[in-house]
Amino acid sequence: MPRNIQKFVDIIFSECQSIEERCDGYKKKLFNIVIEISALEREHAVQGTNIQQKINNICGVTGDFIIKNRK
Amino acid sequence: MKLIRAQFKNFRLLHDLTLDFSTDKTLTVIRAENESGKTTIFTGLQWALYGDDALPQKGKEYRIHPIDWDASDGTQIPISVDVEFEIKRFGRRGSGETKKQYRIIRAGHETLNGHRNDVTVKLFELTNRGSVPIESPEAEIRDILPRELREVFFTDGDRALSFIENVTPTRTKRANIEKAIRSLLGLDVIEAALGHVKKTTSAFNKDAKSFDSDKKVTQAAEKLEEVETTSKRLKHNIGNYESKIAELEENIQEIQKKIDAALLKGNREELKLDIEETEGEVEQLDKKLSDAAKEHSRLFRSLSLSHALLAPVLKKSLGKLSELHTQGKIPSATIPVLEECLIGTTCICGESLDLQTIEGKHRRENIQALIDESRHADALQSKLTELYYGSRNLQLDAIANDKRWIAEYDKIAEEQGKLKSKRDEQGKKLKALEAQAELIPDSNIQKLRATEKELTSLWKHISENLTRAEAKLEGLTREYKRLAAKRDNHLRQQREGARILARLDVASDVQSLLENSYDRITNEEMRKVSRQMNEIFLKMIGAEPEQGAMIQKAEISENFDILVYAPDNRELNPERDLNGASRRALTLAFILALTKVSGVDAPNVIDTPLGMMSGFVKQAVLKNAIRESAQLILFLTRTEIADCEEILDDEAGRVITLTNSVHYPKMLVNKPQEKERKIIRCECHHRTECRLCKRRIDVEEEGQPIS
Repeated sequence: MPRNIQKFVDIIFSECQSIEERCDGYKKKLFNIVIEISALEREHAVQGTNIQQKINNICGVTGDFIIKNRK
Repeated sequence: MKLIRAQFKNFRLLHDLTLDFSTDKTLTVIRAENESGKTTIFTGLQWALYGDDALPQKGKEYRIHPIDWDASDGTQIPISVDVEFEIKRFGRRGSGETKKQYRIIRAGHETLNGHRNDVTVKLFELTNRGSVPIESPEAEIRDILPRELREVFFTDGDRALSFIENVTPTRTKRANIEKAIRSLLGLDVIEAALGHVKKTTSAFNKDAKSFDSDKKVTQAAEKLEEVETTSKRLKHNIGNYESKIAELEENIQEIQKKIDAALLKGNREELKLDIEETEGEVEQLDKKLSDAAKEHSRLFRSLSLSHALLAPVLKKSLGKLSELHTQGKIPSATIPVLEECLIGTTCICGESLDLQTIEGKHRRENIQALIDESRHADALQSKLTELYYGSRNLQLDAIANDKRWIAEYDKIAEEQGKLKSKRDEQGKKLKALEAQAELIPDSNIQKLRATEKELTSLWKHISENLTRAEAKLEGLTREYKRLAAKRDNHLRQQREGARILARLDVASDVQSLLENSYDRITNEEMRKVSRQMNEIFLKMIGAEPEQGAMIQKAEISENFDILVYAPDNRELNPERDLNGASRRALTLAFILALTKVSGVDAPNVIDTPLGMMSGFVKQAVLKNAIRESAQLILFLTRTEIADCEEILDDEAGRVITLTNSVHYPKMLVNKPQEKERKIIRCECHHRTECRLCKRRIDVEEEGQPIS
């Protein structure tokens, strides 16, 4: 997570608006996972976690979310 | 982050010192004169947070323990710095701000020769239940206070100028600014996330290959992998080219500076000729001076000058001689009269001197005896006679009135003066030329120009490679998009494919979000830092562009250069064209703007920020620094405090005075009770003084007698 969290959150939120709504609630979901990935990166910088696997999982689960909620 | 308290034990002059910083008001002032522990505290705080890297020369051969450590107390000296601080923590999604307090202790031992061992760092969270130790304290600290921001949080009034001064190589200067901006704005985290998300895309692409039934997806996915590998290599090459180009540009710039400097100082060969010519002139002038000295000497030896100088004495002497002459005492007439008598045959008394007669002969013998006797006895009279006859023809009045020798003397003296002055001038010129010649580096201008040409040619070659690589990468990016679309089309036609495609879509959306955010943060926030820096800087120096101020604006360029402009958008060189106070103000403005725009709650600890400043600028710098900082800790001397007392009255939450005991008796009025050489703290603020901190200069200014 960048140091000025609110600023970063605002920018991500604003950028999310121009992303295609692939299914119901996709933009909100995407916003949340980007924030979560950033937080994981901060955690990884301090603790050296298995971040690649975590990001793969997050994107995989979100992909499944699209399939499930697609109109 | 807010600093709450710091304790130093055996850290150089800080034998045992505790400082508590203001937490309710922004400003804490540590008042201390030179050699009173300011820089030591500054270094000690950084050592606690960053370790040996924060020490001068990264701690190599840097002694921490007090220099006067009593060896009888042991040769292993315990050293430690203990810092308490508070940080704001947020929930994962940026919500739920909480404040937590921590304590970091860096401690160890040092031998008398300065070798440190057993250095440990411990971090505790301070809770209601007590201190909870935290694992990996270094990593935690790195996260809270990144190393690359050390110079932003801890600003040494002089060292901080590395952001703008030309003595710092351009690349380092840019890198300092770039690192500070990227880290404070959190761009490093986004960069890392982007790298990982790209790898996620590659992983999903591999998944696509594994289930494919008609191999169409596999083919596309394989080609995508190839494109990805080539792109990665190209990006790596582009990075190398860019860094090589930056390095070459810096080297070329350095050489150009050397050429300019050499041209300014002059060509060594030309200087050599100048020196030889001046040496010749000096030699000639020395000869002329020697001739003039001879001429001078001749004048003093001349009869006319002697006469003129002796005229008053001679006149008096001649008077005496004339008097003797009038009295008949000179000339000595006896001998000539007697001799004259002997010529004839009759004496002046009328008696016969005839040799034929006995009486005559006898008289003659008597006269001759008288002559001999007179000759023998009257040498003084003779001398006086000689002087009388020798000098009576002197025209003493005329001589006394003859002033020609003065004119001659004046002429010689004037000539000598002129020659001496010329000689001095040429001598100085010769020395200056010799000094100039020593300054000129051995390398000559031609050699420098040849190197410049060589480097420029290499720069062109690498620039061409870069352009080619960039064009190729652009093509590959288009190819990647085409292949990805082809792969996605095939995926859509298969059930399992749709699932992988959805995952690829997510990875692609995340990547695109991060990239756009990165660009926005870089561009928008950089512009904000630039605007904010300009605003603070102009306020600090009291420049009003509308009123035609000499300095119109300051900005950060896309290349991370700090630029300053005069009217008509003419660029100024911050180092050459700004005075010391403005340079310092510019650096502080950059640091404060960066901290403010990033929204990071971090302290600004600044050592001697108001040096080289006075009057309006000093007050404006102080006011703006307080306004723009979340926590401001200033190390100030009494001179820096002068004229700012009222601001400190209103704004300082805490003022602490530090005194060095060794300053007694030279600078301190009263003898400290402490026997050791150490820094002593008292609670005096910027307007007060006590027995401990009373300084002689203050007493003298007040006009009180020194006790």
